[in-house]
Amino acid sequence: MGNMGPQTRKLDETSAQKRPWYAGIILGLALAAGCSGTVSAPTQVEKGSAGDVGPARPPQNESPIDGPDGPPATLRPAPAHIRRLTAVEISNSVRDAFFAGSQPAQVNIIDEVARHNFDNVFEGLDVSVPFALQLATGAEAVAGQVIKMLPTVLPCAKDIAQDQEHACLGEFITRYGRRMFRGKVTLDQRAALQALYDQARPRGDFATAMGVVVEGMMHSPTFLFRTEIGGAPGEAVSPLTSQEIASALSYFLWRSGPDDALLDAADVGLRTRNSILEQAHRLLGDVRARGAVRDFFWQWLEISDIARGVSKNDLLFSPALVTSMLEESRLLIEDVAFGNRKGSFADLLTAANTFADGNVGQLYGGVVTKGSTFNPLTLDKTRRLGLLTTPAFIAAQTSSARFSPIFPGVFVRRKMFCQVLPEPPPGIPPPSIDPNLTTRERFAAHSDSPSCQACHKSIDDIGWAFERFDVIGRDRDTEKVGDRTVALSARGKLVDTDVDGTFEGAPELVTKLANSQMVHDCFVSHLLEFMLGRDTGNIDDRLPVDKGSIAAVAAEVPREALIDVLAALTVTDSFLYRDARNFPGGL
Amino acid sequence: MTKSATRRSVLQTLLIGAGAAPTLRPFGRSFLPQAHAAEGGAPRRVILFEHPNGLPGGGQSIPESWYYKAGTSYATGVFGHMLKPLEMFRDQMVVIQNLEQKNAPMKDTSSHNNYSIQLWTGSAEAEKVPPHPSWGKARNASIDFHMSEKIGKLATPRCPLLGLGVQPDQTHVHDYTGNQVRGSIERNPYALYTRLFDGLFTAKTQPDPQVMARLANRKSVLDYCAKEATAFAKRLGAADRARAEAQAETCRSLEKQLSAGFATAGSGQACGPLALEPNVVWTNHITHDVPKVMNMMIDITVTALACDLTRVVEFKNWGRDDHDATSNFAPINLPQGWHALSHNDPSVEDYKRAKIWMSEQVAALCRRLSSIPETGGTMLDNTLVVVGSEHGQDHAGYPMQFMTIGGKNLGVKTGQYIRAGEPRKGLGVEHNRLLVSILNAMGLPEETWGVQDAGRGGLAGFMG
Repeated sequence: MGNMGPQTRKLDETSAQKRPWYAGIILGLALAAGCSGTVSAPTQVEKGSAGDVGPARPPQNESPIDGPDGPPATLRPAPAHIRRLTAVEISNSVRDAFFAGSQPAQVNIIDEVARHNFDNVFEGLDVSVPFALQLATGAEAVAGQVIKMLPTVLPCAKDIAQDQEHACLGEFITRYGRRMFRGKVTLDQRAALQALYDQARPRGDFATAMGVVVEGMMHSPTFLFRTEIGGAPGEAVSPLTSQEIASALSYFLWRSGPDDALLDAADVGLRTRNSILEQAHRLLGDVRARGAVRDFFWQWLEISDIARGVSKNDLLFSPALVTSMLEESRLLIEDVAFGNRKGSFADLLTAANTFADGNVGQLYGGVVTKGSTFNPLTLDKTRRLGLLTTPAFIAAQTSSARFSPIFPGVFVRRKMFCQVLPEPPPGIPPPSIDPNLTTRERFAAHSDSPSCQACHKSIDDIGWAFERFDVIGRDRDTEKVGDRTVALSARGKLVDTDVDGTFEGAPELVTKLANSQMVHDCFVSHLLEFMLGRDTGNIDDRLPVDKGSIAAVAAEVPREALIDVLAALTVTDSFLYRDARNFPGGL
Repeated sequence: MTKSATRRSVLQTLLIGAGAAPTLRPFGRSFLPQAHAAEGGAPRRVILFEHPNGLPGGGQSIPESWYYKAGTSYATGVFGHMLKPLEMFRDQMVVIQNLEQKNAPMKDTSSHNNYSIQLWTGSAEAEKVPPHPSWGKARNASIDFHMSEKIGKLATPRCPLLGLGVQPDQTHVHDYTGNQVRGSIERNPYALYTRLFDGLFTAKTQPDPQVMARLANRKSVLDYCAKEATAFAKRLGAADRARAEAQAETCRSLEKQLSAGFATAGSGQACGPLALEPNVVWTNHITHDVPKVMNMMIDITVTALACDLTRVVEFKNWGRDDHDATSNFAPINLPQGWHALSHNDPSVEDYKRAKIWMSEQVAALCRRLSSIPETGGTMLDNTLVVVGSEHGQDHAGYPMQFMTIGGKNLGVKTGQYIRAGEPRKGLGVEHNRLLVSILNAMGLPEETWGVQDAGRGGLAGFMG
């Protein structure tokens, strides 16, 4: 690395006013230093301070990220690592490399169930025997599809003469190898693929041997693992290479490999924040970004859990209903984030509209919706607002049999406020199920017992917000116990947050969440996990590495479009730099 | 058992699926998601082994003397009559007491119906709305069926769920394929053997050239994979180098297996034809051949696992009475059925002898599993054997006694005793927690099981 020592340069306010909001973040700490706050949470993004990130830096949006205006000398990036593609990423990458995104490739790999918040956390993603066996299956299927389409994807393969085969193979490797390996294929890699072809060719025809080359590409570590080591292996601060940035962008924003345009841009050089932002926005304008954003929310909010065989004590709960629930949440997320309004995260939490078909429409009291077509639905604002009141979220946060305030309460504490909750002490039985007591009466034991009170008071009081929904997210107003029919209030209370106070019903709770900077910080913290594929709670205190810049992003969350927040994160130091001291040499 | 099948033929049938066993495909759907493989890469498997009617009445001394009496540690805990035959597996076991089926029977049904249904579904018998079959309706699928849907259909499509048993009760059902549909338990070992293994061990005299070409291509791809990963690893830091080297090793080991002609290291050698003794009487009304039927069922189970024809086994033995199923075989030699025995007819000592015999069969099954080397140890290390009954004591839903054997590589914390609550009504831990733990051990992420499950998570301490 060159001169990356701390420098001070006065922020040009006039030029800053002309730039989008995240330009200020790009500029470094000038904004971050002024973004002071009192809110703190154990695992969330902490507010920046000069001590965290060094003194203010000059405008860098046009400066090379590895030039003299690069990161401050105090920067301690996250450790460099390789990251294995997830099952979804493999499938998407193959689809986009060979089939122009139009034909789904039947890879059918199932990753081990993630124990992290997100499926792409690199720890645990390796090439084990079971994974390799699935990969072999998938590679065979993909190869079979490529063979069928060979004249289309590789015109030189049509009626090919034997003496032209190697040339045609070379063309294939140049074009498709570049997409699969996310960069120019090296001479060694080319030779190895050609050797594989030469072994297979005597056992079959040209197309069959080409299929074996496809299988080889899918088994290559260059395809399966993407590197985040940077161009300065051995150094404490190593800026990612242009090819690594292209991959990081595309897998963050598309969950797929870079397209030709992005690879072209990488070949020219993605060395300034402006050039990176330009690509980020281009990617966010593509339909593939919708799938990535949906995956982020489904995993963060645990909505995807309902697709994993959850059972419910309700005859209406069927695979068709689950499909409709998921579709509703997908449409809502896409409408807010990518629709005309280009909404913010807060908009997603407080959206006044949703979408419903005949299945999920049954859960909205009094609403008549029929058929399989999803239509816009205006919510009853006294009962529901936004993504956290969709049946998909509610069903994911309840047990199979009956409503409990614990699950949504714990979720909000842990995943919306990023607060650390201790594990419950062993040997404490759950509240007994007395058929003559309401849920509130049974859970009163939590609040009355000293051993439970410390945690459960603050958990249960949040969870009551969802009391007026049943286990599949259907409206309800009363609870019947024995001979009694008791009206439900959904009244609760938030404590130990920056939006403390009582609320009545889920709409008031989600409105509080939408106004909480703690929640916005936590949201950005989860975005970082998803972007970096690292469990930020377990790595070390070096993530995020540029707390000031990250905090500045978080501060803008309530006001700015959700997709602009995503774009802004791609030009933070956390995204761009790694500590590569553990790497012996360049790749 | 004989092993007349050639290694090549088994390889071709298991890996290539050509010819005699077209439903088994090469690198096809018989391969597993990562979560469904044990540590080391061998398949995760489960056997649910059921014996009927629980413990007899007689107070708390029965669970202690028949099952387990806690000591200062698990090592000093006393194995009762039913556990003694399994003493050699003490370090591989988890002994569990005091679980409870929380959902009481309806007024107009028997505890047998309710608790049988609840055993693997975790939910009480469904409301009796006509037409309501005598064997009852479940509210949700049983875990064995769920595992077969999530794992078996993908990994072992030829037999996603192996349901078999010795004199299985036709009246009281444990396994449900859905809300109201019962599963199927095969009690005829000959029919089962044909259904499972038909054509599998028929050697082809001439290798299919296309099959051999596909094999050779696969070996080339794996060789390419190993070389590329080795070169890739050299350029990485220590931690990542190990990951890339692991990929290289994975590809080498698979290539080696293809070359050797076995699907899985070690256990493949146990995958061979069985010489079933002819003319064994397996029907319920004549029972002197019961020990032979049990041996045959154990042989079939182990062979099916070794051939990776199935991963999920429900091994159901007897039920209530079925009126035909008696205990008239050595060493019990009584005309009574198992239900009568459980009511101490003619004496509690007779029931004890029957229960001990059943445990000896579990031990025989586990000895077979532990004699087969596999990745990470033995087949028993990669298989969770769950032994339980639908009743606790004296035909109540508590205190239920369970034991598991094996499953070390599935993440089970073996060699321990779990006291799951107290042996009194309402004070036991709901047995849904164990059902969840079984699913988790098989790599499935469920946190609840059964529509009436009000709790969450697996049995505390079960997984390591």
